[in-house]
Amino acid sequence: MKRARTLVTDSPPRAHAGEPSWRDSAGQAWRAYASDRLAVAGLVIAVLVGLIAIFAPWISPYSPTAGVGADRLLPPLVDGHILGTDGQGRDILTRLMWGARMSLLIGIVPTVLAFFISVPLGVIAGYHLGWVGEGIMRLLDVFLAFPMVLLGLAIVSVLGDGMINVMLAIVIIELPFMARLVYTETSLMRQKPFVTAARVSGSTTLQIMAREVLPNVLGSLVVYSTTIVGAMIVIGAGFSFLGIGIQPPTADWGIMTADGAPVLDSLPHISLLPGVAIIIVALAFAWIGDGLRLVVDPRKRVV
Amino acid sequence: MASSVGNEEEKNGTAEPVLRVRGLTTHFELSSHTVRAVDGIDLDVARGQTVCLVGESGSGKSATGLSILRLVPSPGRIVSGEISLNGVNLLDLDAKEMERVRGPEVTMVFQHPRAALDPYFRIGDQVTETAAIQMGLSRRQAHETAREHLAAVHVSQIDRITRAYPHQLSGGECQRVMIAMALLCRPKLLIADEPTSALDAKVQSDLLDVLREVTEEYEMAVILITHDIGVVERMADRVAVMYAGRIVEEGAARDVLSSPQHPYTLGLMNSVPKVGQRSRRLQQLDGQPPDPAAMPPGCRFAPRCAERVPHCSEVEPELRPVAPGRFARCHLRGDAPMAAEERAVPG
Repeated sequence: MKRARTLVTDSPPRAHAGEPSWRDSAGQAWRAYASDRLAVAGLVIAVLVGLIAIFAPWISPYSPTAGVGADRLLPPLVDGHILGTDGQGRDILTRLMWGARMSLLIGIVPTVLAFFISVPLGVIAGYHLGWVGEGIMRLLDVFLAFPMVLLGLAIVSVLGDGMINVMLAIVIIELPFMARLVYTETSLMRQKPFVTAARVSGSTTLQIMAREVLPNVLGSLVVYSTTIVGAMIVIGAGFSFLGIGIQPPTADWGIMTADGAPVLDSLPHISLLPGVAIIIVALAFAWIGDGLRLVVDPRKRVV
Repeated sequence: MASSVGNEEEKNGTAEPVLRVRGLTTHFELSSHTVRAVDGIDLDVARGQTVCLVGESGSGKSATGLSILRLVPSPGRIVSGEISLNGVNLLDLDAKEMERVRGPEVTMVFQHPRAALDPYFRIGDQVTETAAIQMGLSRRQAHETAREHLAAVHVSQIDRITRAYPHQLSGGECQRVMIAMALLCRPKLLIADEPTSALDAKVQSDLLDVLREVTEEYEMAVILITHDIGVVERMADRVAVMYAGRIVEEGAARDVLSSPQHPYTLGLMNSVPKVGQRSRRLQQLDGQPPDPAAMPPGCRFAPRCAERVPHCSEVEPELRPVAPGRFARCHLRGDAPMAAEERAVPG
């Protein structure tokens, strides 16, 4: 099979034969990703949730914040409320749709920020193992000493509640982990024979960082970041649940879970549905991360 | 292969050398003791000449190679000496200047070629990028040049190779790629550290042919680090035998191979089977190289030497001329070369 492919691709002498085209690479990467079924499932879920989040204002049947007093605590499948209503008579399906916006924002935005901050910090610390690197890493280690949720609680209680502050807190939670990953990978990388080989052929430190170290490190970091998005969605929802994150009446899955808690024994769906939504989205990102692992490292591809 | 008189002169190292190493000393300072990996080495390599550095593991061959590139890994440190490359002492250069020397002046090929290639990039991209950077070419020109150089090292199916990732290639293919990348730099001096040791015999043989071909074409000075006498026979113009951080014997390859002077060289030669010789029991070198933390006071080879006399364990011999262009570090050689010849006959 492999042989046959080689023959087909080699025979027509093209002007740029042998140069792997962009489409070629993308195709190989996709095949690697698609070989992991859960990763595909995760991607489908994430895209779906993403679309719902974007189009929530247009596709949701009711208002996410204003309830109808007469329709309080309806069970699912009643009177045009497919998933029922909550204690204030708000449509749960609508609130789930709007809640997806909050969850995705809280999961993704801080992670992207932390990504771009952690790369320079980690690479500098990992490549220049002098006092600068030591300083950066020890400082971040202080944050690592606290449990994630506790640290988040402390930060939010200092900064005050609200969406922006929750995001900031999550950036601070993520940063030490991500920077440490970059740091470890970088310091491992600088001892690799191919880095020595690059030095031997006259590459400068900057060139080695840009061409050898960074691409290798970024792969791992992308995988890790994707995986951590799910965890951060859970933590963000946790803050909302505790009442120190996003504030009512905003539709948020954490708040919704908390809203349903008093009636959990009689009307469990009010808490359960947003809870399940959190789990599904968190899992989806973890699965995507696993799939990306295959894409990032060509050695793990089964061709 | 040209065989003019001038060329012959070069091969014997009488022409102005590309590389001139004097008194190179590289130490690894560990917390408990200091390892003198390279301990006062003199070495000349002329243009178009291949010098083989031979010795057991830990004799300081690789440390010598890395010292010349000034890439000794910490806690290693070049303590003293002079490394003149085309008249410039590399030990006087700062890090920035040294970066400019690596590549166009001197480069290195390693023992484990697959590890020396970045696993995350296709071969084609890696070679092209090296071409673009080393030769200042545009992407398109670099691509062509990369293919030319891969062709020069006789890579079969260039299209397949350029599309492959390092883990999809054989060891021999990876090493050819490494040689092609080294050539892109057009170095005056190529240091090849056990370039074929990780490969099987046939691939090894092909690769040595390739190496010989390209280094001759560009008239490179080559330091070939090896422990394999067979490689020396095929490749070397001159040989320097290292033992415990010192050169114990040096000379033109055919002389050293045909009549080894130092007992250690003799031991090495006798431990290798020869084609066309009736099967005899191979002699082995008894014992181990000395503990670098506790070097013997006299000759470092004395504890293992079959010919040692009491004097050997007391005073370390100098590297002395034993014949024109030949040196050995042995009390029993030089003054009485005839005696050495007699001893050289395996009993």
